[in-house]
Amino acid sequence: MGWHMKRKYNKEQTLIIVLGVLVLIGFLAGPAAGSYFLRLLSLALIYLIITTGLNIVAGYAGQVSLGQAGLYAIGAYTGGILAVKLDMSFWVCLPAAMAVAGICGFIVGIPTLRVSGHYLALVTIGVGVIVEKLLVEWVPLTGGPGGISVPLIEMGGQPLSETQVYYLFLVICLLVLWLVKNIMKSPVGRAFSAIRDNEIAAGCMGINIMGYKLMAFVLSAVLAGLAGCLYTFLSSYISPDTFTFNLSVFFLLTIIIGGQGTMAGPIIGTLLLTILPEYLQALEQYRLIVYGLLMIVVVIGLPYGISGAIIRKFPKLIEEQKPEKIEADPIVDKQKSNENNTLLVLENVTKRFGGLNAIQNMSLTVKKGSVHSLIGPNGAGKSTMINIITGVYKPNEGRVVFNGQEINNIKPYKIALAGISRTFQSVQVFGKISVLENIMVGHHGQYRSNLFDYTFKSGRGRKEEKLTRERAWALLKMVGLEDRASEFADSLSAGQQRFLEIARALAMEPDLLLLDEPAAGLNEVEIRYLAHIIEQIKSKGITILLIEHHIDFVMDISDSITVLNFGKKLAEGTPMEIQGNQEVIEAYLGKNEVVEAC
Amino acid sequence: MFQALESGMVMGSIYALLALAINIIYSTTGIINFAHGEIVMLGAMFALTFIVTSGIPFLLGLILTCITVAIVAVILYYCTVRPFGDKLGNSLGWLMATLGAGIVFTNIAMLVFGTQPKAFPPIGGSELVKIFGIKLLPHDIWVLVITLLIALFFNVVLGKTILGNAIKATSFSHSVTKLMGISSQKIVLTCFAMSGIIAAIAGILISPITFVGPQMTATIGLKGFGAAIIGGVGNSKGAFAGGLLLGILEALAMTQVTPGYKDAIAFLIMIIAISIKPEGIFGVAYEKKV
Repeated sequence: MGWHMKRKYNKEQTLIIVLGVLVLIGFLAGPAAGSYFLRLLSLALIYLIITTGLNIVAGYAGQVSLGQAGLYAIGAYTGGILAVKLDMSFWVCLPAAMAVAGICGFIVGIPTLRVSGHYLALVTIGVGVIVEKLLVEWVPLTGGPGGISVPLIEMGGQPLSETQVYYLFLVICLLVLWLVKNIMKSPVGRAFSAIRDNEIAAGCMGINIMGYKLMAFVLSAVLAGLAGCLYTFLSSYISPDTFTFNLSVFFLLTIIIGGQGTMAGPIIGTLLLTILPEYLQALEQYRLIVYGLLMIVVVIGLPYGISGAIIRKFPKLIEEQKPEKIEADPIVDKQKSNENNTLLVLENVTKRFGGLNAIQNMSLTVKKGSVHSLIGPNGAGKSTMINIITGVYKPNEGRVVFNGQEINNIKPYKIALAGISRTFQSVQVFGKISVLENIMVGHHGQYRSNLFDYTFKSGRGRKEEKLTRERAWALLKMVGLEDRASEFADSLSAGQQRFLEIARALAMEPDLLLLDEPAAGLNEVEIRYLAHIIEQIKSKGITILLIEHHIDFVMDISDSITVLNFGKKLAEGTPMEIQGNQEVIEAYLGKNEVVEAC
Repeated sequence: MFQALESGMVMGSIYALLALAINIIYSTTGIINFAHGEIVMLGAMFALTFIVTSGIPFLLGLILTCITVAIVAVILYYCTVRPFGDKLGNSLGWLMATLGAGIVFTNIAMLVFGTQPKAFPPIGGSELVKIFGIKLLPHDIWVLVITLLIALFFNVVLGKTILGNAIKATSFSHSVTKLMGISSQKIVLTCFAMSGIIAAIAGILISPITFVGPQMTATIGLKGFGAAIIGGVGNSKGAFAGGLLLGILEALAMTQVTPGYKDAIAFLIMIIAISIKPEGIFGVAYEKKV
């Protein structure tokens, strides 16, 4: 927690801080408990580092990893081999172990660019097994089943005592927790959560999904390497049978019980699974059975782990402090004097799904600053158009040109960064992060800071974060959700989620906003409110491409309308022209039939 | 070389046998049962108890084992999969739950049967026969033939019968299947029971090769998943081909490096296969819809 910030804590938050301090005092007083217990506490610190790392990739980024013991082993053996074979000191071995494990984490992460879920589980299990076998078989390097003995940690030529080693580990562990917390509370952490909750929406927010997934794997691997090296010097002897698949499962179990995707999760999990079992010696024979049963019971009974359950029981713990007054301008002005009058051009675009032509030879021009609507019966290809423009689908033929730049072959996140933002026909919010954070994710592409700024809380990073927060509050106020800021986004009603999506899209400061049926499911009052918001957006010079079925609404706010039917353009023109077009009336109401339109 | 090919085919058949059972569960629930290897191990344990220890005739023992393991598989479903409801694709809770069940099974087996691996007689005796100049055990032939028969059986069941259609419908949507007048619950239970029966048969077939012990399927189980994925999950042809491919590649690699690397090689093949073609040899890649 940042004590340097002038921040008020509510009762629940204060209680947690007090608890945290008590745990810290417990750790500080560790050496008083004797040598055996001290070793256990040191091991707990090591496990806390590795599970905090695992939490980044599995908890925040949502990429399950069952090979963490392999990366842990790589760190341990890198440290051990350098110390024994090359006679290097602990202080050289530590960064080397982190680097080697980080590189291996990068390699492990590559398959995740293609697969997730149980496929990824299997890939990571495979990595763990491969490392385990290498440790046994590559005898000249690893010493084989016999393992390696490692010298003690020295400082200024003197070996450190047990207590000194313990305090060293404690300092490293606290440092790791602080740095990881900084990253997780930054746009990087939010990008991880966004990818976990909704990969497609995250891509459309300008988040480079591949890059962030790899980053999560590398960060977690670096911490696994660090923990591994510490383990080597703590136990001064390592052998392959420590680093088994069961250990990987144990690490994952730790964060699942503690609570994935929260900083407290690994702490709670480690305290519970590393220190507590020592008091349950009677269980020894049944310990693994108890672990197995615990896994089943916890994933069923406490799907969000202990910390997740506590947060859901006491939502005030994660309450965002509402600013005294919200004065930032929610929408950034995009009115630029630019002679180029067209913003988006589609040229002869065709998209096929199997044998079906969802869009056929479609051309469309959207003028800068206008509200352009796409209407047409269901299945006409309207949403497909939006998905092509945002890069979610690749067109089979044709070109899409935005601001003079061809965009039909670049990734969704790059299109988003170029200035196109969108909402989805079926709402796609990031359900397990707060409403406020959802909007802050939208601002992702506007950051100029880098990982270093976030990790060490540089001035630049903090300034940008403050700005983002202010803008997010202003956007929340604009869509009338400022009282729900701290809630999980999936707890909002469908209508509220639609407004949240619009606010999130606006946080991207787009030139072009694509609204895919924003009024679906809204009542009359909400639709009027939506029209008001769209007017506001338009007045700031942002171009809008709108798909909507509420015809009155469309006629009221559009500058021009394109009518689609069966993937082809049926008509185009001003609302007046469209209302009088015979073909359009037939497409909607059928031919030669007298139908009372309501 | 031919000897390697032969042993690769036998191990491959065993991977295929596991993959088939993993498939049958995947095709109705969309999940991978991470405790399947341990269920196979339980099959071997029960077979050992019934046939070797108690001296029950082989066929009766086989039937008893199948029934027992089918019941275990159904219990597994109620404890680790059912609680997550119908929308299993959305969470990985079932993954941890089935992994947990695997750990429980292994450790209970250790407590009850001990950790020492025990021998199990091969089917058809231990006399070597010679076919095309290759010496092999009759058991090896049995393994190949039985696996092929089971694969064919599932190919027909899934592709040509009303049960197959019901299974595919269930995998698409539990609630819509219910609306069509099919009890999706019953279909899922049938599939779990079937996977249990195949696991029992697999257990008996593996036992003479690996010996019977709590750890006997620790890596074989994982390679079964690998075989299923290489072939394309949910596809019987793929499971068979994936299993054989994995087994043969593994055996051929063994002629080049020391046996200790066997599992490492198998998993490397698996990882490469998943990374290059996640949908598998016989799978079809779909464009993600929004």
